[in-house]
Amino acid sequence: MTTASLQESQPAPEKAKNHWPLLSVRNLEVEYHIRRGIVKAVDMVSFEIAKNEVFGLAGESGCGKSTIAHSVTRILKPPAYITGGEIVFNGIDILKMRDEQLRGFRWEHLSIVFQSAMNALNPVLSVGAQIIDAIQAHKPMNKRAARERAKELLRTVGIDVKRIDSYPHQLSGGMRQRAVIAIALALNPEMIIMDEPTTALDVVVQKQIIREIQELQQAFGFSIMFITHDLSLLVEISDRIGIMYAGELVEMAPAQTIFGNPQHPYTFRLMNSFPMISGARQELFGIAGSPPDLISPPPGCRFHPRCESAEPICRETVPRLRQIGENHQAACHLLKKEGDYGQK
Amino acid sequence: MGKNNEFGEPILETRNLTKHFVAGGAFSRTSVKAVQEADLQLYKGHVTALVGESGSGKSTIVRMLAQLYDATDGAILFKGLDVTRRRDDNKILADLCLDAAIGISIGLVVSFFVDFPPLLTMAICIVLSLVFGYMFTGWQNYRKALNYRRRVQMVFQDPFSSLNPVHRVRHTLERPLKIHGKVRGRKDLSEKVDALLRRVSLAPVEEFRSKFPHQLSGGQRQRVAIARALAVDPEVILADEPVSMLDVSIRMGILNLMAELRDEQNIAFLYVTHDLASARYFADRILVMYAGYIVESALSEDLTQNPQHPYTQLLLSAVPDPARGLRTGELEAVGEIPVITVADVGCPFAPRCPRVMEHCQKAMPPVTQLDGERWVRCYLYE
Repeated sequence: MTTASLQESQPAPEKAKNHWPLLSVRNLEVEYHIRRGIVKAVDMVSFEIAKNEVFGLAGESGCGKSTIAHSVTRILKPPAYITGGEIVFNGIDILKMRDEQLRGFRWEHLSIVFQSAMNALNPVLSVGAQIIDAIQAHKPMNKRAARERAKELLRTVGIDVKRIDSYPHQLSGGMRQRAVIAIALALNPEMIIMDEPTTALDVVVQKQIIREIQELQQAFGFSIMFITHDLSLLVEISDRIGIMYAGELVEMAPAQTIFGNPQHPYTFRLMNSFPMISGARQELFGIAGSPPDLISPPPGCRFHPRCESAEPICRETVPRLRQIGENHQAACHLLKKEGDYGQK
Repeated sequence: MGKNNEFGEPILETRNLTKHFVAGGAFSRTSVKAVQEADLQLYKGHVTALVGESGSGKSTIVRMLAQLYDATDGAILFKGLDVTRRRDDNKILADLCLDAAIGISIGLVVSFFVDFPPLLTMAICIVLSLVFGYMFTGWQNYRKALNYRRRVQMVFQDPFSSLNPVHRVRHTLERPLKIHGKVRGRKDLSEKVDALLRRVSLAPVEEFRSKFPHQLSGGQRQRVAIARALAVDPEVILADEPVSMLDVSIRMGILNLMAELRDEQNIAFLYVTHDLASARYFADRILVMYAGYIVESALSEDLTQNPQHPYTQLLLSAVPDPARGLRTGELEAVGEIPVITVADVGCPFAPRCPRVMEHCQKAMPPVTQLDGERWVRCYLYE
């Protein structure tokens, strides 16, 4: 009810251009230049996110998923450098934007929710002040109108409006995360990047927030890039999922396919690293070894040292992401051999 | 509980274990009930999981079991012997008086023989006696703790801070062996260290022995931490969120290693976690905690497939389950876990409970034994 009224009061006419896809990342490369050498954190990653889509990005820590989120919002700081590729949002290359263009772009078109709400919020300003700040920074609006809008936003994310003058430390973890989401929604962006928004929260609160995100997403129709290492959560919330390993995108498919029919050996083993709460209790093995050091990644497929079915070609040639089925891409040499996928 | 037929006698158990923390300022002093009347049993060769959200008191129980915290009330029994660490003010006072009395009597005797002002002699003797008494008590406590920790070991959540960064793995593993007198001679020591490393699958041993923690990955560090716990041949291992800091692909390896230790060395594990799915995978029994109380206890499959307590049901409905789908699962309760102080009576879950009744607000429900291995603290089942 409140969400509907909010939508009416904030129409976004010029945003509704029907570009498909909304966000398109092509051959993105990001490097961290540190004393020990050059870390290739993201290597030739390409994916697209459509309007109104929830795209999940999963992988272990250090696989580059947060680096992608920071690249898309252009908040990477040295020693991280984007060394190649392009990020096109609604037809405009974000990487070529000037600073003042960026200022208009961030938050109005694309906002981000960080993992730790405690660090994302300013501890010496009330929640309301921070929402009002975000609104006034982008829109000429007087204090009273901005405050009304802030109240509306708090109501939308399920926080009692009386809490508008509370400071972050007076709110529980779940409420803080809700407040951060309210700030992200402040300007009705077309896309919100959520970088592990619920990782620090307990499962019950996590579920409440996930459900709220889903409701908001359906009401406002923004796209979401949802980043987490929790695959079982991701399968539930996403339409499509990309799996990353050691800086590379290794598989991309609709969520149900990733869950029910994973093709890349890494995805397959990762799906088998999660104990399930229902269904048969089966023995799980995880994946032997640990992710590689990205300063000197293994040649060929980066997963081959941990892959049980690795063959000589895996040690020599880097596999490219290619179509292996309808709406299903994977980067693995071995998949070519299986008869059921006749692509290329 | 009458569950001895399958599990045998508990090796470590708590009875009515309670911990209150003093909180608030000088004028608003109150006690936070961190753990209330906890009854839990650990059995040889079995894993007991303690599941709850943050702030439910599960880590406090572990710390009391590891003798890092004193208990406010209740008892911890190890093989039937009371090993509870309590702060007993009367005993401290009695010890002080005894020490002072010894000091006075020694002072009296000494002042006869030495050519020194008698009062000063007395004072020196009393002070010395108090100091020695204090040291003796400390030594006694140390021996007691040493004895206990030979049998009950702990694995911590964060392997990045639980290993000393300035020492090599070898040193980390040699320390418990030396302190607990488990070795004879240099050769024996290095053999035992190697055997420990092999036991936790850190091969090649020669290489890992001389590495520093920062040269190891998270999973390898946690393996070193487990090896360190194993060094003293413990009968109980308390694992406080041992895999929650690790990457998902590594977690199963650590859980499987601990399952092996349970089966091969007959170690009793307490597995503390917030992740019900991993508790179902690893544990034989699961206890669910909410706001300081253990509210339900059952065999893993029973608890996860057929939860009885409304809180367990809520917790289970919130666990992501791709097979079931989040969009269909219903979440009945709202709100978040409260902090319970001494002023609060009644079931702590009552304010959020979808099936709350009138008397839930008045007193905490007692333990109701259901079929076999299962009990629950809820008026719905009385």
